Amino acid sequence: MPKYIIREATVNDIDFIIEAIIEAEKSGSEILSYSTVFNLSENELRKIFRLMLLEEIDGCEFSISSYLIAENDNTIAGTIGAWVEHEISPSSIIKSNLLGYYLPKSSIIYAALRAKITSELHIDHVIEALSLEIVYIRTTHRGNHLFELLSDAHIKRNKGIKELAVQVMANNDYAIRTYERYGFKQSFVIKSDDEMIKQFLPFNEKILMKKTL
Amino acid sequence: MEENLIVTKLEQIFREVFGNETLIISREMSANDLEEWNSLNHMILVTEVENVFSIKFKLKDLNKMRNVGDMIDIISSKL
Repeated sequence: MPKYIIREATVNDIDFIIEAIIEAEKSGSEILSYSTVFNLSENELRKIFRLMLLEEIDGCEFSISSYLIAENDNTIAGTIGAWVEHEISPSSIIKSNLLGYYLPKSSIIYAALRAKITSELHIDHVIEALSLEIVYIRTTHRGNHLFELLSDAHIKRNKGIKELAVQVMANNDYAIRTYERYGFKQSFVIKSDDEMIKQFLPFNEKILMKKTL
Repeated sequence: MEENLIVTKLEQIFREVFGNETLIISREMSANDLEEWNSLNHMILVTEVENVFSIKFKLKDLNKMRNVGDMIDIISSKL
């Protein structure tokens, strides 16, 4: 088993964080929801994500401070982006402020016209829980318990938290098994019967999983 | 522009964005109070506010907004 170190992400990790956000959003499919919802190419989004991350605003998946990085021999193996969700500053609003500031207005209008379809799989973040939002382990490092190592480290740096939460597409069996092994249990399932939704999102069913500490 | 006029215009924007013709806003209202106030609708809301009031928020303005009252104060400071 390779020996990994876990460390806080820095601005030098931006390229990997962008890769993690994109791959986690795709959830094993070829559909990048940010691309389909905002009608932008992956390359255009990479540039926008970089600008958002460089703002270094805390509290959402576009915050460098949310990420812990696993490294082996100076090579990045994986990351988890996580934060404690607070009622006074919802991560969804922090994220949409960043997106709204950097996205072209035409993209927001495009998304607005399709909001009814894409919002059908929305699940609120769990207040005061540690939300594991972006989970990404490079394929060559899977099976080495990096999810457990990174999650343990996130718990350690958020002393006092009592609950973990993660949202996952229902067809991502590998991720669900990994979360269940760590003690997560399915808490809520939401499904859309709108045939159009698979044009915008990787799957039409999403699960909220929780683990009590 | 007087605050009550800002509130009237803002309330109309909220009603259109959130699809609720009888919605009454208050200074204390926040994203936690409206189920429809999700990330996408928040972006649409901000865009509509900028269009209607002919203003442009800075990112730091957006990050200071915790509720409708903050939004009213920031709009007022830009008019």
